[in-house]
Amino acid sequence: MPSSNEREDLRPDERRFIRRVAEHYTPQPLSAARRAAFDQTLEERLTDSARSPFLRPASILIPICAALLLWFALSSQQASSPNLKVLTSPSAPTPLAQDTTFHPTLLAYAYYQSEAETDFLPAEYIALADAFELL
Amino acid sequence: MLVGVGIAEMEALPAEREECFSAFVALQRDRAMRLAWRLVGGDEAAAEDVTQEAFVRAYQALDRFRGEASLETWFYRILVRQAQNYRRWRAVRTLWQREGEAEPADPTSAVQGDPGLRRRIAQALDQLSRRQREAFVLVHLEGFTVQECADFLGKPSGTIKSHLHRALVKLRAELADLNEGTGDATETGGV
Repeated sequence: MPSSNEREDLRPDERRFIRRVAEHYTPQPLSAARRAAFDQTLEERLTDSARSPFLRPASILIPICAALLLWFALSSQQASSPNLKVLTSPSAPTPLAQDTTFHPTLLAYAYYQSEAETDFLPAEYIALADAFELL
Repeated sequence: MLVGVGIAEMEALPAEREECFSAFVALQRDRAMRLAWRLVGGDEAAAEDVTQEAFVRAYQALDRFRGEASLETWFYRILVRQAQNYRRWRAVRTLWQREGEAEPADPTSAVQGDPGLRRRIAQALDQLSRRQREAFVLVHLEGFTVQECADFLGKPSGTIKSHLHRALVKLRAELADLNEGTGDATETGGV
């Protein structure tokens, strides 16, 4: 052992303490059967890992591509109906507000309601209420 | 250090490389399992999974192994990181589970000796900081040198010595009854 080993600097009482911890905090030695089982499982995992490098990039790329496609689809849909922006609430958009952009008729209906009738509810709630009535 | 398996063998043809890796596994399996068991808090199934994952990752990354460190140092660095990942995952899982459903590690399974004392040691180790626990296990329980431990953890050896000192003080305070009695003063480590 190199001289930098901390254990060489320990006092006898510290060494005794550490030895007792080590004695009591140790797993049962591996039996021959457990070693064989370990090696077999490891062999299977190594075989699987050797096959999967071709699949791993695909498994990462597919969800990313799907998310990008969805994002592009949503962006283009929103860009094709620019007037809808004025119909949504000026507050931070919620998932509900996002969904309502797909119902221009409903939103327009909600937006042009009399303020006297609707000023106690956010536009998203009104749109939702109207949606249920129309459905 | 690694006996019979070196960088030259690992750069050999794939078939020979696999043979060398098998020899490496056979050589390190028991020690790696024991180290993982101690690092994950005495959970046998977790230790086996961590050890296997470390071997798999080491095998997958063999092409990137350039021999700056010994293969043993390189592998144990991976193993320690896997154990860290497991503990993080277990902490998150425990956090999200309701208190009654938490599944703490069971350091009493398939081991001999005093299960109560073993559980107390596991709990005392849990209360150390991650670096203190790793340094204590690697150097005092597994018999690695301070320099090897520093290489595994990517810290200066002075920092490791500081962790070791603090860990020992905390553990002796926590497990005061293990200080008592008259044992012999033989060398410890690598038990």
